[in-house]
Amino acid sequence: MYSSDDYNEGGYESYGDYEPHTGDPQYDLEYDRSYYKMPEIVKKFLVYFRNMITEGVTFEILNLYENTFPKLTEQYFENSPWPDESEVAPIVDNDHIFMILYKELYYRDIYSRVPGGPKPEQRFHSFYNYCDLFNYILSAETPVPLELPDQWLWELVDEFVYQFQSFAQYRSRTSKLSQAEIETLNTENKAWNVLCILNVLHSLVDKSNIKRQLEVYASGGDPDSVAGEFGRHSLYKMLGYFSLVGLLRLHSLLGDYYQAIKVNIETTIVPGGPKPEQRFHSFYNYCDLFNYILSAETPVPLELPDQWLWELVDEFVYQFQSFAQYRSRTSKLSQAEIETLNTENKAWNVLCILNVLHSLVDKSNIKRQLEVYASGGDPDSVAGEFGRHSLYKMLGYFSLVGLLRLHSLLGDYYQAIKVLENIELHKKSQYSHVPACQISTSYYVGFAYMMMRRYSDAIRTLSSALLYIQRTKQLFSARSYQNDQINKQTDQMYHLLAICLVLHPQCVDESIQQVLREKNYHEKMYKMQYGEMSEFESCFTFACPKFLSPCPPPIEPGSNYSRDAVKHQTQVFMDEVRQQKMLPTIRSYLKLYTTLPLAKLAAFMSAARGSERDAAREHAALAIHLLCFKHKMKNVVWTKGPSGLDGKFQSGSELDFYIDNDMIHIADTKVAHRYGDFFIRKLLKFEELNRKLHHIKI
Amino acid sequence: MAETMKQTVASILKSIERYNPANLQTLERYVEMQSRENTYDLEANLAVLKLYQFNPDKFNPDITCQILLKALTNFPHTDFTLCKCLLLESVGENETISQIKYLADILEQCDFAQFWNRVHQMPELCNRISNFHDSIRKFVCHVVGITFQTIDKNNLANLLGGIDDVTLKHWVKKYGWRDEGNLIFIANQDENIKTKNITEKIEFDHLAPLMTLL
Repeated sequence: MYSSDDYNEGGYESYGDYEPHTGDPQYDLEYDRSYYKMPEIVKKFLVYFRNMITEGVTFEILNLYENTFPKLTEQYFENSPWPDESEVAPIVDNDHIFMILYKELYYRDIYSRVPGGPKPEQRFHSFYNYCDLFNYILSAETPVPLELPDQWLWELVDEFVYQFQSFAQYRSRTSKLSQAEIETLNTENKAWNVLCILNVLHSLVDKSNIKRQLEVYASGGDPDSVAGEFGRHSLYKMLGYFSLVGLLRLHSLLGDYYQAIKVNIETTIVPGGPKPEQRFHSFYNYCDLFNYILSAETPVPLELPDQWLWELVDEFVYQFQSFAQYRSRTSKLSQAEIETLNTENKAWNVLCILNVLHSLVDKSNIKRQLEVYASGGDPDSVAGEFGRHSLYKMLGYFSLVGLLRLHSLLGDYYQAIKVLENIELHKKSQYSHVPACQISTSYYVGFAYMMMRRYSDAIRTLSSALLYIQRTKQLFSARSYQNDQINKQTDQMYHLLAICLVLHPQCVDESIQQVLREKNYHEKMYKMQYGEMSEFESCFTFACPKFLSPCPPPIEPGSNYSRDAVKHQTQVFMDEVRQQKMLPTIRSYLKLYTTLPLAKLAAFMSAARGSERDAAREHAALAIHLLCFKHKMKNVVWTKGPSGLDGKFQSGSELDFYIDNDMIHIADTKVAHRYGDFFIRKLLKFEELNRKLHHIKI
Repeated sequence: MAETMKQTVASILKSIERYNPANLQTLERYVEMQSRENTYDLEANLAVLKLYQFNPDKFNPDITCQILLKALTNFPHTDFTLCKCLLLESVGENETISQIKYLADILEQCDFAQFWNRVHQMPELCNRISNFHDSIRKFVCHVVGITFQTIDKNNLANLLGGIDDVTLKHWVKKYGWRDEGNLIFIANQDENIKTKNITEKIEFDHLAPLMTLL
C-alpha cells in the first residue's frame, strides 16, 4: 500500500484518505489530474521516446529504455508513480501503441517499487494492458510494424509471468484482504486467469513458428526458411522464444515439472546461447525439480519415460558445462552481464551440481542395487522405499553417468571410472536401454582410460560402442538435437580410437578397421605414426570433452580463461605422447625380424638419425628406449571384478619382445582374415530379404 | 592409530563430505602419515588435490609435493598422471613441483641412470618419503622382469641406482632371479612372449540358428 508519508513531499497530503480503496479507478485518476504538473523534460522524453519507437530505431529505444527511463524515475518520480495515461496521451497524439508500451513500463514500475504490491485495480489494468498489447501483436494479419530491443521483449514476457505469479499470491492471502478488495476480485474473475496466460504464451510460440525454427537451426539449417511471414520478424521470433522460457517458468510455478522440462529441453538450442537470466532461471528450475524429488518423505507420484530422465540429467550437466564456458569467455560479456554473474554467484556452482547428483544416487540406493544386480540378486530387495520406484532408480543410475561426465570434465579420471562400479558396460541390463546414455558413458569411460594409459581398456570400450552404433545406425539418422550429439560423439570416439591404436597397435573388429581405413582417419593415423606431434594435439583437442576450470576466478573484464583447462589436459596428454615418441620407430624395425642383436638395432637407429657414430652412447640410448617400450606397453587391463579401476598388468599390443643378454627376440601377432562373421551376417540379411519378397503381394 | 585414521578418511571419501574444505586438515595429516609410515592411498590423495582445485586459497605446496612423490613410488601405475591432471594451472611456477614433474618424466622414459643422478642431488626432498629409493627399485625390477631373459650384472646394478654386491644379491633373491656369474637369469620369457597366430574359430553355437534357416 502507498504510505501517506511518501506522498507528502509531492503534495499528495490527502492521499491516505483514500484507503481503503473505493474500487473505482476513475476516482483516483481525477484526483491525480487535478494536482499533477509534469516536468518539461519528462514531456520531451516522452515525445522523443514515441518518435524513436515509431521510427523503429532499436538501439536508441534500448538506450531510452535501459538508461533514460530509470534515470528520470530516480529524478522525478522517486516517491510517486509515473504520470497517468490520461496526462501522457495528449502529449503523444494519443498514439495507441505507444500508450500501451508506456503503460507496460508504468505498471512495471509500480510493481517493482510499491511496498505491499500494487492495488487490485492496478493489477487488472496492467493485465488488460498486456491483453491489448498481445492482441495487437497476435491478431494482425501481417506482422505489425514494431521493433523493440530483445532485452525489452524478454523483460516484457518475464514481467507478464511475474505479474501473474504476484497476482496469484496476492489473491491467496485472503485473510489480509479488505472486504472491498474481495468484492473487486470476485467481480473481476477473468483477469490473470491461468488459462489466459497459457493461451497468450502458446499463441506467441505458435505465431512465431519458433519451435520449427529452433529445430531447423539445431540441425544446421537456416531458421528463416521455415519461419513464415511472422516468424521472420525479429519481434515475433524473439517473443516466441522468450515465451518458451515464460512457459518453462509458468509450468514450474504450477508444479508441472514434466511440462517445464519439456519446454526447457526445447529452449537449450538458441542462437548465441541463452541470456544469463535464463541460465539462472533454468538452474533454479532444476533446483525446484530436484528439491521436489529429493525432499519428499515418500516417493513422489511422478512417472517419466527413461529416455526423458536421461536427457534431464544429461541436460543438467550440459547446462552446467555451458554455463562454465559462458562465464569464462569474459571478454565477450557485457558489463551488465558481468555484474549479474558476480552477484548471482550461487547458481551453477560446481558443488551444487555434485551435491544434486550425489543426493540422487544416495536417495535411490542405486549403488547397492547395482551391486546386488551384478551378483545375480534381485535389486528390489535392497532398493528401499524410494529406490524401488522407477523414477528414483533411473534418476540414480543416470546421475552416476552424470558424475562420470562431470568428473571427466574436471580431469578427475579416477573418480570418473570409480563412480561406475558395478556397472558392466558391455552387458545388456535393465538399465542400459537408453542408447544416448550408453554411448555417452562409453565415450567418457574410453577417454578416461586413455588418459590413464590403459589403452587396451580404452580400445575395448570405444570399439564396442562404435560397433553398437554401426549396427543401430538407422536409429540416429534422423536429424535431431540428440542425434547430432550422438553423431558428433561418434566422430570423437573414432578419433580417440585412432589415437589409442597408434600408441598401442592392436587388432580390432574388421568393420571398425574399415572405417578407420577411410581417408580422413587414415591420413591422421599415418601422420601420428610418423611422430607428428601437432597431429596428436589436433586429434586430441577435437576428441576431448570441453574441460572446465574447477574454480573459476572472479570475473574481470578482459580476462579469458576458457581455454586454460583444455590446455592443461592437453599438456598432460602430450607429455605422455612425447615420452613415447621413439616407440613407433623401434616397432617398425622390430616388425621385420624374429631375432635382432642389440648392436644392429642401435646402428639402424643412429642411421635413422644420421648423426656421428658413438657406439657406447647409442647402445645406452637404445637400452633406455627398449625399457620404455616394455614399460609403456604393459598396462593395467580390466579382466573381471565390479570396478573398472581393477585389472592386471598385461601386454595387449600386437608386437612384443624380450632381451636375452644382447639379443632381442621378437614376437608378432599374425591375424588371419575372418570370414565367418561376414558370411553369417550376409546369410541373415539374405534370408530377411527373401522373407520380405514372399510377403509382397502383386 | 593408522587404522582409525584410515577408516575416518574412508568415511569422509564415501560421501559428499569429500568436497568439504573443513576436512582438508584431516586429509593433509593423512598424507603426512603416508610419507612417514610408507603406506599409500591414492584416492585420499586425489581428494586432497581436488580440494585444492576447488579452494585455491587453501593450496599447500608442501603437501602437494609429498603427494606427487608418493605417486612416484607407485610406478608402474599411472597415479602420477592422475595427480598431474588435477594440479592447478598456477602450480607450474613452483620450483619443487617442476623438479618432481621432471623426475616423473625421466622415470616414465625409463632413463634410470639420469633419474638416480637427479635423486642424489635432492636428498632432503626424497628422504621425506620413507622407503622412497626402494619403492623406485621395485619399479625398476618390474621393468627388468618383463624385458629381460638374462641381463648383465653390472647393468642391473646400475639400473638399480649403482648398488653394491650385497644389496644386489638381496634384490636378486627377492625376485627369485638366478646369479650366473656375469649374468643374471631373470626368467624364461619364451613362455610368455611368443608369436601369436589368430585364426578364426567358428563355434557350433554360432551356426546352429543359421541351420534352421537353411
